Amino acid sequence: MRKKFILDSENDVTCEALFKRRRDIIKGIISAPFVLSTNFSNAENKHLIFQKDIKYSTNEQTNTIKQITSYNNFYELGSGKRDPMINANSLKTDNWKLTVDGLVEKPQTFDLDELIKKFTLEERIYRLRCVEAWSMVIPWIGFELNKLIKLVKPLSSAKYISFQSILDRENLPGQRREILQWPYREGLRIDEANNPLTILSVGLYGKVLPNQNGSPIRLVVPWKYGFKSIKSIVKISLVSEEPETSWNLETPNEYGFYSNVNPYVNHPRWSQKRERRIGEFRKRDTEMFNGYSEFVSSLYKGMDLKKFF
Amino acid sequence: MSYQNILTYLIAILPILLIMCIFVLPNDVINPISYLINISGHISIIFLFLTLFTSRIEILKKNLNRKLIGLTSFSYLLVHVILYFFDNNFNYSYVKDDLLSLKYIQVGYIAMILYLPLVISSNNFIKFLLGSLWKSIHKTIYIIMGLSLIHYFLVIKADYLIIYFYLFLTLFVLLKSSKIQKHGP
Repeated sequence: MRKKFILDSENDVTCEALFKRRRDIIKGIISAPFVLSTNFSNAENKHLIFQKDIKYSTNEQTNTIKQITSYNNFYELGSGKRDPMINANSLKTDNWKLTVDGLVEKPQTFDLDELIKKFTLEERIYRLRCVEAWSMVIPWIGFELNKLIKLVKPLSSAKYISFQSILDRENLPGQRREILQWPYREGLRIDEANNPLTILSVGLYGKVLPNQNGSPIRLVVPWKYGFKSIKSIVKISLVSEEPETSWNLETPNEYGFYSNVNPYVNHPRWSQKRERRIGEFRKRDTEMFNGYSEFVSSLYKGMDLKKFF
Repeated sequence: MSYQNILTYLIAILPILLIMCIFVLPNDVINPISYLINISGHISIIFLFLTLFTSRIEILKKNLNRKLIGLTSFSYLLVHVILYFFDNNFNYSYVKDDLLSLKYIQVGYIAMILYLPLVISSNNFIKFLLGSLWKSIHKTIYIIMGLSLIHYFLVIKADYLIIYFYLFLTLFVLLKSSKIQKHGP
């Protein structure tokens, strides 16, 4: 009789690894209809080789990969904060080409993989301040934009630089409606673009950029509101006049061309005096130029930043 | 307790259960305070619509308690406002800053203040005291409705999809309103 209670073989014992994950498994089953698993798609295994930067990087606590990859504003992939993660696979990044043209001696279309090989990648840990009054600290991997500008030899008539994101109405769910005028456009003054803080990023946390963060190549301008840091760039042009920018086209009285982080100029929807660092309990004060004054305030000497907001 | 009340209470707590699911399941909410402020505002507006629908749609009128739905809408509004104060570290000067400089905040306050007389006079005894005046006081619900939608409209950055949905609901209320005038709200 006792035999009944003796296990026939080792196979009857739940394996330890499975046992330890029991809560996750149950959670997974219950939540299956609700959950769309975090999508790191292309970033899965592609590690980048890079140097660490200490001059420009902050030593503040970085946000987690989960926070950085599941709370995004990337309207091409949907206007909700989770949409970019959910729809990340709709962004096709294979054989990406980046065209650099306009007022340059050597206009070219680069194969992205080839282009990245020309530069030494470095890690820049930057604060990112969204115009919606939240912020994160993100360890980007990239190279200074001025290196690319040098490569194409700008003419002296080039005063501004304009950027354009991918246009792919067939695949990108956000582009099926005219939420914004597609493609997304951004711009900088040439001295802003040449500032060593301004980088083109191709990765974060040591790996290739996840799609929802603007893969395969995006701009990062840490002293400006996040929407200036255009994602998934296909074209860069050097121009003589101030270029059109997407949010400025949408609501010109709310989003200026400069859009420097400035606690003294309020946006009609958000007080810019304070921000919530994602993961923190209490709001903190927002700093002028997002705390990068020492590197960038000279760019705006003599300018009325309330007028040129 | 009548079955109408039970049913109404169940509907009233339904959103809380859904929100709890979202938080308990591994569906991480990265910016929980902002998320809760947003969703409690929407729930309050939806219950406000439901109140108006209950006067207009026979099946709802029979099976739900309209007063309770109105109070539910106000309760979610209170949650919305308390979370907003929390978001501002309960700091008086932060809140004052917002009130003085942000239009949608001003509109929100007006809607909330207009809501108060409705809540106070929902009590049966006060309703009796007020007599026919009660009806006119409760007509401000349309103004509150309008202000809530303006409040939300002013918060939207670019994607107006949800506001179209609310406008559709408003249109429905207006189309059904002719009947109400005959029978009283």
